[in-house]
Amino acid sequence: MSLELLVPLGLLALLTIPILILIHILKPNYQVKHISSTHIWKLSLQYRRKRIPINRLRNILIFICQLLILTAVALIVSRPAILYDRNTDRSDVIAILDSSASMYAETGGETRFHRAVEDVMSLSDSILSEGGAMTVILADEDPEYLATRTELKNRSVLMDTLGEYLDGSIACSYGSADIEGAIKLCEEILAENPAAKIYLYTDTTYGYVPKSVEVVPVMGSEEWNAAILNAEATLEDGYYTLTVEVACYGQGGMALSMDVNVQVNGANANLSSEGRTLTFSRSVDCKDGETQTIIFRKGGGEDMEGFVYSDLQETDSAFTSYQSISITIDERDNFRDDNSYQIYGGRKPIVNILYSSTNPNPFFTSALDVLRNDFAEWWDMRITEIERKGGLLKDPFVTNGYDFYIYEHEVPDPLPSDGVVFLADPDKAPAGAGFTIVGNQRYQSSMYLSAEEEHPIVSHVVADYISVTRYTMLTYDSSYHVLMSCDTNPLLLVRNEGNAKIVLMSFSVHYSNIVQLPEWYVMLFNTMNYFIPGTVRGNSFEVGEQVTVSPRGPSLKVFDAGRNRLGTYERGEDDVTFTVPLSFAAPGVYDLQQDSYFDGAVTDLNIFVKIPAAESNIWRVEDALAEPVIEQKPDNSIQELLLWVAVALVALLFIEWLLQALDNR
Amino acid sequence: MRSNKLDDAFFSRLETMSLNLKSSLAGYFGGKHLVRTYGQTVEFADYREYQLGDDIRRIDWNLYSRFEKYFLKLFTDERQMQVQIFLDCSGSMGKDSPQKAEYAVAATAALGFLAVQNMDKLSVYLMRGERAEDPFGTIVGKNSFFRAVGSLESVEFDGDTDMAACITGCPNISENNGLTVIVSDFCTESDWKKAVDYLCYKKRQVLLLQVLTPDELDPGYEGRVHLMDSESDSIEDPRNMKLRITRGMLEAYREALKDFREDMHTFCNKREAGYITVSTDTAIERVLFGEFLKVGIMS
Repeated sequence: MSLELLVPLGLLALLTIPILILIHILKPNYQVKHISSTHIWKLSLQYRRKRIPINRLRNILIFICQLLILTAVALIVSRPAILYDRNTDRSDVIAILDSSASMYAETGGETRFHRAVEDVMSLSDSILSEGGAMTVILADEDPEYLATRTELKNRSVLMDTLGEYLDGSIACSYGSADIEGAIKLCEEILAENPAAKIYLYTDTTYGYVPKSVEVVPVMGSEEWNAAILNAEATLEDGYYTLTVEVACYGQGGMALSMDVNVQVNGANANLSSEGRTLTFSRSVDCKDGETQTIIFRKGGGEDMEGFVYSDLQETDSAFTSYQSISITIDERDNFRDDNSYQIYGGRKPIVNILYSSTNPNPFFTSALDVLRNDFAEWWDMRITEIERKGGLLKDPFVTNGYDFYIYEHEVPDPLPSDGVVFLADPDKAPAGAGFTIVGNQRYQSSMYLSAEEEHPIVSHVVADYISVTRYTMLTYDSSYHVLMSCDTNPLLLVRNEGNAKIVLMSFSVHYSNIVQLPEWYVMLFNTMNYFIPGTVRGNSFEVGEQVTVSPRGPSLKVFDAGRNRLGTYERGEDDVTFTVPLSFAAPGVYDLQQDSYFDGAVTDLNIFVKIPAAESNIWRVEDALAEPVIEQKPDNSIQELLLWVAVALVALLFIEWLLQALDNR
Repeated sequence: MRSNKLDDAFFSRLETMSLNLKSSLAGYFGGKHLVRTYGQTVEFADYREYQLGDDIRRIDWNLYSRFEKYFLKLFTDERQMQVQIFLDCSGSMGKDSPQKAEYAVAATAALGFLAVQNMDKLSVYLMRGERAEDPFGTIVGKNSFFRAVGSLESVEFDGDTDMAACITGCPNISENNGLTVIVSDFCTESDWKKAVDYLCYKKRQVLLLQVLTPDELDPGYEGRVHLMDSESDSIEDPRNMKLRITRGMLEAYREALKDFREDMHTFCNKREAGYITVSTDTAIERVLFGEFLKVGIMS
C-alpha cells in the first residue's frame, strides 16, 4: 500500500504559491485620506495595541490557510491515490507452525515440531525461489509472526530464524497452541493478497478445513503416548487414598497394558521417625483414547469400567501421612513429558497458636477451631489454651515458641517477638508496644463503630454492625494503622513492622456484640490470612497457568528442579499485601523458597507443573478449523483520495473565510 | 472664507439672550452684570451698622428713629465684564474642513455678540503658532463688533497652534474680570490644560468650546488608509499615519474619543470651567439655545 500521484504534473499548480507570497508582500495599498487631525487615531492605537499579537497570529494563520488551499488545489489536480500492493500473481504463502506441547512427540530422535520446521524451511525455499513471498506464524499460546511476506532477498534471515528452532536454540512451547489466533494473524496477510495460501503444520486432525487452508500433518504413523493425566491424594478414614488418571493415545485400537508405579516418600512419619518410603504399582489395560482411573486405597474396591482399584495393605503400603508421592509409568512411548507426576503437600507446616486469657471464653476457642479446619489445606494448626485466673505469678506468661499469640485482658510485658500477637482488651501497655492506655470509656447504651482505613484485616467486615458499651482509650504511635474507631477513639489497630506484628482490639468481647456477628470470625480469618497466608493454593499446576503465591516472609525465591534460580521477589516497604503472580513455561518440579519475618528461617515449598492434560492426546481430533475472514477491499487496486482532499479544501476555505471575517471586525 | 451663517437673522435671534457670568467676578464699572459687591444702583440689597468713616448721608434715619442705632442701606452693584474669545486658527480647524472653520467663527461671533449686547468689552484673539493675535482690539458696542465680524469671516486657518504658549503669552489677560472662551477642536499635542490652568489662576471664568466634524466623531472610512494630518508639512511628517482601519479599529477610535472627551470634561469640572462639544452638523442655534443654556453660560 503506498500513496501515489496519478498526475504528478499537477504539482505545477504549486507554482502559484510564490505568486501568493508576492501578493502578500505587495498587498499594502493605502488610500490617502486627508483629515483634520490624527490625534485621536494615535490615541486609539493604545486601545488597539493589546490585540496586535492576536492580529499577527491571525494574519499568519490566514496566510497558512491560503498556502494549504493552494497545496490542496495542486493535490486535486495531481489526483492523489492509494495504491494497494495486491499483487495476486505472486505466490503468497503463509505457514502456521503448531507449537503446542504435543509437538514434542518424537520418532527416531526427531520431534514433530522439528519435522514441521524442516517442512516449512523446504516450502520456503521453493516459494522464495519461485519469486513468491513467505509468511511464517508460530502458533503457541500467544501467536506471533516469525516472518512477514519475506521475499527472496531476505531468505537468509528467514532461514536463520527457523534454524534456531531446528537446532534447539529456541524451543517449542509446553503449553497449548492458539490456532484460532494464528488464523486471525493470517487475515492481515489475506487482506493484502486474498489469494494467499495457508499451510498449517500441526498434529491435530480437523473434521472441517476451510478451502484457503491446507493442513499438513506432522505425526509419525506409529506414534503413541501413555500419559498420567491427573493424580491426587485424599484422606479417608485416617488413610490416604491415591487416585491416578491415566490414558493411552495411539496403538491403533490395540489395548496397552501399562504399569503405574507409585513411590510414597516420608510415609507414616511420627515424632520419632521421618517416615519411610513405600512403593507399589498396578497394571492396567488401556485402549486408544481410553482413560482409566486407578484408585489405590486401603481395603481396595470392585473394579468397574474405567475404574481400577488397588488394595493398599495396612502393613506394607497403606499410609497415613506422606512427604511427597511420585507416580510414573514405565513405557517407551513417543511422548515422555507426561509419564511422571508428583504430589506434594502431604506434610503441612505446623502453626502453633496460643490463647491466653484471665477469663477464657468459647468465642475465641470456637473461632480458632473453625479456622483450623479452614486452613487445613495449608497448615497443621495446633492450638494451646492457657487459663490465667487471677494472674498467678507462679504461672508465668508463655512468650515464645508460638506463631500466633492471643492475649485477652492480661498481657505480658514485653510482648513476644517471634510471632503475631493479638491483644484483646489489654490491661496495660507493654514496653515497646507503641501504645499507651489513657483511660476507660463507658456508655449507657450501645455505641456503633465506624470504619477507618481500608485494610485486608477488615475486608468484608462491616464496622457499622459492631457495637460496644465499654472500651479502653488509647494513644498510639505512627507504626499503627487504625482500622475501626468509636467516637473518634481507636478500637481496632494493626501494626506490621518487621517482627512487630500486633493486632490491638481495645475492647472486650464481653462488652460488644461482635462475637454474635459473622464479622468476628471474618476478622480473625483475615488476620490469620494476612499474617500467615497459605503460600499457594494447590500443589500442581499446568504450564502457562497463573499461580498466585503469597509469601509468608519478606522475600521469595523460585528455583527449578536443577536448582537454577528463576526469580527473586522482595516485598516493598509500603506494600500492605505481598503476592507474586508466577507462570511456568516448562513442566517439572519447582521450589518456592521463602524467608520468615521472625527468625529468618528459610522454608521450601515444592510445586509440580505439568503439561496441559489435553496435550497428552497426541492424536487429537477437532471438529473444525476456524475460517479466515478476508477483508473485502475495492476490486481495483487504486483508491483515489480526491474526495478527502476536496473535503480538506472546503474546510480550509471555510477556516480562511472565518479568519478573514474575524480580521475585519 | 466667507460664512453664510452670520446674517442679520442670526444675530436678531440672539437679541433676547445674555451671557450669564459668575457673580464673584469683579469687572469694571458700568456694565449689566450683577455682582456680589454692593454698589450705587437703586436696587436695595441689605442693611449694615454704621462704621467710622462711612458717609453719613447713607444712614437710614427711619431705622435710627426706631432702634436708635445707625444703619446704612446697601444697594446691589452691576459691572461690565471683559469677554475674551481665543479662536484656534490651526490647520485642523479649517484647512480640510471649511464647515468646521465656519462653525467656529459663527460660534465666536455669537458669543461676541452676546458680550457686546450686555455692554461688555470683547476681545477676539486668533491663535496661530505660539502667538495670540489681537487684530480687532477691544470691541465695545455693536458697530465695532460688526466691523470685526466682517474681518473675522475672512480669517485663514493654517499651520499648527501651541495653545498653552498663545494664552500664557497673551499680555492682556486681566484678573478676575470676565469670561474667556477657547474655541478649538483640542486635537493637538500642545498642552491646552496648562492654558486652562493659567486662566483659572487669573480667576477668569473659562469655557471650552470643542468643535468637531461628524467624520471626527464617527469616522466613516475603512480599509488601508494613509491618514494625512492637515497640520502636517510633508508626507513623511510623523503626524501622518498608515492604518488598516477595521471595525475593531473604529471601535478603538470611538473608545479613545470617548475617553478623550471624558478626560476634558473631568478636567474642566474640577476647575469649574465649562466644556461643550459641538458637531458641525448640528445647527448653531441648537447649540446656542441648547448646549449653552444647559451649561448655564447663557440665560
